[in-house]
Amino acid sequence: MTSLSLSLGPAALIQLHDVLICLAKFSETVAIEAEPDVLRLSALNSTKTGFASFAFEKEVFFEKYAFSARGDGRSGSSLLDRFFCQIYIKALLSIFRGRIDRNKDTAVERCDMEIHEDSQQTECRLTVKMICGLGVIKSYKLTYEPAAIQHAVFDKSKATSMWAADPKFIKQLIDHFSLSAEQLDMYSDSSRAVFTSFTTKIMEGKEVLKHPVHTSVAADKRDFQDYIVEENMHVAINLKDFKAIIAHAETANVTVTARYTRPCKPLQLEYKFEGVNAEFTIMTRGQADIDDTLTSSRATIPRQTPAPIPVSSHARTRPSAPSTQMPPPPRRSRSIRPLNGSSTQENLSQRAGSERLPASGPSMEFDSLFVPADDDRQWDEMNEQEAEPQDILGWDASGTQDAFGTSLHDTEPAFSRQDEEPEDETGLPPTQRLSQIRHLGLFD
Amino acid sequence: MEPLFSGISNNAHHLYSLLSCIGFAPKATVQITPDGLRFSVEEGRVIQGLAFLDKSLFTSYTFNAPSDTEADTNESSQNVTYPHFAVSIAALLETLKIFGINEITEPNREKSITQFSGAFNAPALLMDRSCTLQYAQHGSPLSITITEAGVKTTCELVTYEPEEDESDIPLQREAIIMKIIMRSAWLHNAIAELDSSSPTILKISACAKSEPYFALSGAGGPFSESTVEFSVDTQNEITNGGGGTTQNTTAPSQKILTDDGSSRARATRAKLAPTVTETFLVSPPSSMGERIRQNYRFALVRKAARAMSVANKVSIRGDRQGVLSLQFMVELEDGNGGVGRPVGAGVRGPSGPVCFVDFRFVPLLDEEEVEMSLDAAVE
Repeated sequence: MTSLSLSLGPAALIQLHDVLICLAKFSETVAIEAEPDVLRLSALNSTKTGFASFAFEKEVFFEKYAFSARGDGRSGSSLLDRFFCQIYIKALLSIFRGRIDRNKDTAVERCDMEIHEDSQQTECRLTVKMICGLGVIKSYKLTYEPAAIQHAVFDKSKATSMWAADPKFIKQLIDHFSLSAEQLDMYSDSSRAVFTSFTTKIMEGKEVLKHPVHTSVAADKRDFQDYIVEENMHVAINLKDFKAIIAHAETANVTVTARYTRPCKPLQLEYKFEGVNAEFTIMTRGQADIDDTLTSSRATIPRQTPAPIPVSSHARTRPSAPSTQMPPPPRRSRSIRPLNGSSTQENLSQRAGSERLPASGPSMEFDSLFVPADDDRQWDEMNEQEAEPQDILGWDASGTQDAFGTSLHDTEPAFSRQDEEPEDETGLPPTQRLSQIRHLGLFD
Repeated sequence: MEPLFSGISNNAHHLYSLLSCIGFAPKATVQITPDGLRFSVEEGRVIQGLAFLDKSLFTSYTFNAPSDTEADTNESSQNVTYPHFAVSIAALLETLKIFGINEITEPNREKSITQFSGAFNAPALLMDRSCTLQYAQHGSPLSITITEAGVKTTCELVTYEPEEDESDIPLQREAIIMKIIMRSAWLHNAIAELDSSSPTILKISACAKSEPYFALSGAGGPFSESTVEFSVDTQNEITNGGGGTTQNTTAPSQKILTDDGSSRARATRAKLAPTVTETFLVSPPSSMGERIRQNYRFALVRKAARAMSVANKVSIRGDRQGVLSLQFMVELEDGNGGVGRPVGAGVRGPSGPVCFVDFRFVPLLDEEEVEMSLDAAVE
């Protein structure tokens, strides 16, 4: 039985609304993690190149916060003093929307939220109660779903470049960029910090190259509160993400700090205000340093080659929404094309290897945060559990076939019984030649 | 020849405010009576909106009741006494706002949350306007003449024969089991709140004896269920005496609002009525148990949102059969620069004429109940 109950004051409610708006720019769902001292809302974008996380401190942000978890063996919520689930952001936004300028009799005085999860019950509901003036109580029951939640971990101590600035100042800089610009390149040039917006994508379907407009804005380094950046190192990030972050930092009116090391390594933007700790980890692109042997540059390692994946990769590659992003391989491979002469296992593993590509999302050109890692590029797998057989079906194409072939083999009959055409029920592999079975007397 | 009906109003905005409340369907049936014009709009026989333009809204109101001639005998068997016809309400509304009422009220229409503000802020420029409605005889068009600063605009709206079997949704006045009067803004707020989860069904639950006393909830939405409950605000009842916050300033105004029967209001308060209600009478028949539960289609109730935002008070009534009646009391500005927001309307005394807009809804029946009644019918 896990239970979480918390109360928010009107001011915190507005902040929560702002946070949700910001998270909505990253993903459709928000992951909620409750721990005894902190509540964290996070969102990972679909290409896994941007991760936004807001941690709310128990003492400061909430009027009341109580969390109790007892490991009940239920997957997803056990083992640790922690509860997590995910909710469709739009559903949450529709509740928290428009609370800001309602200075009327029935303005919200307090907001109570509760989650009670019991393995004996099937209902997954987040209860939100708005206690308003004049005895009006608005309550909502939201459906949530259990989910594995991933965190991007960023080692601040390893960061070599850093700047900090007022979001209003940054806003002034990025206001110059065109609306269609997608990427933001930043580098340091002697006494100036230069921000350049540019576009890389070809318009889908139209085959028309967008005008490659580059807009550069140079700012004096002294306008930054801190500016310690390696000279002439170009680091590019997604402009849309950056705008979303700056927009939220502006509402919170706090200094934003950016930390990064090199291109193609994550960059972190961070700020803190009133018990909220906001961290955004974004993948960067740019000219990776070729001398740096540690860096997995795109030029040296083609993306098609499955990258070396650590032992726990099966859990790592578990996406936050397994149903959509990771279809069970056996079913798919069999339905897409008939089996040829090769063995089933081999065939499956080939498919698995080739299907790894779409899993990394449409913008393959950009390094995903999931590219195997060195020092500062690790994923904190918060859901380290005993590996379930299904999990071994992960896209670990680098592993030997034996590593997961057996488990594939085990699960496959279940699928085929459900989905295959009747002819499979003869029990004979379709690869067997007709001539081979003639002497059985069936076809003589 | 004398026209059958002729009315002159010097405030087209009044007419517009009232008629826009029921502008949810293409056509309205108009009935001309000696006391005023009765506009009725219905859709699928499950929702009906009624607006009564009282005689007092017109500076001149002439109704020449038809003598027992051809016009009368041609009428349908119902309502033979008064002439009635159907007219496009959308066209009528367009006509009434031809001089720019549009700009004043229209922005409020879409924004469900901020709908309260500005609906009555008719600037003085509307005042020099006269609006003449004329219906010459049976079958002739409804003629609307708007005169403003020497510009005269005449619109002739085609009138249609009303549908033969048109009849009101019956509300059994002698079998009212629920009557709740409250500020319309609270109801509007609640409906807007529920609307955000896009529900399909509105559930009304009322009970005089146990909590929740009065609750509206939306079900069938894709992500969530939401409920707005009107409960007893014990905390504020106590704090109303002291302090100087905004809430306390409105509390006395509530008592002014109930001046017609404040003692009764207190009496009901003693019987544990929600804080926002002025009247809270729930007396279900013993067969229904203590609690009244009734379901309505949310999309239909939402059609009354415009009326909710414009009106000052609402009387929510339900009869034994579950027919829901929302009667809205609309206090019209008399236009003397009254700029008070309708939300705080209770502070002001009623300045302009008071009109009523009535909505009736047919309940959604429980499937089980339907089955039971069918079974009963078979037996």
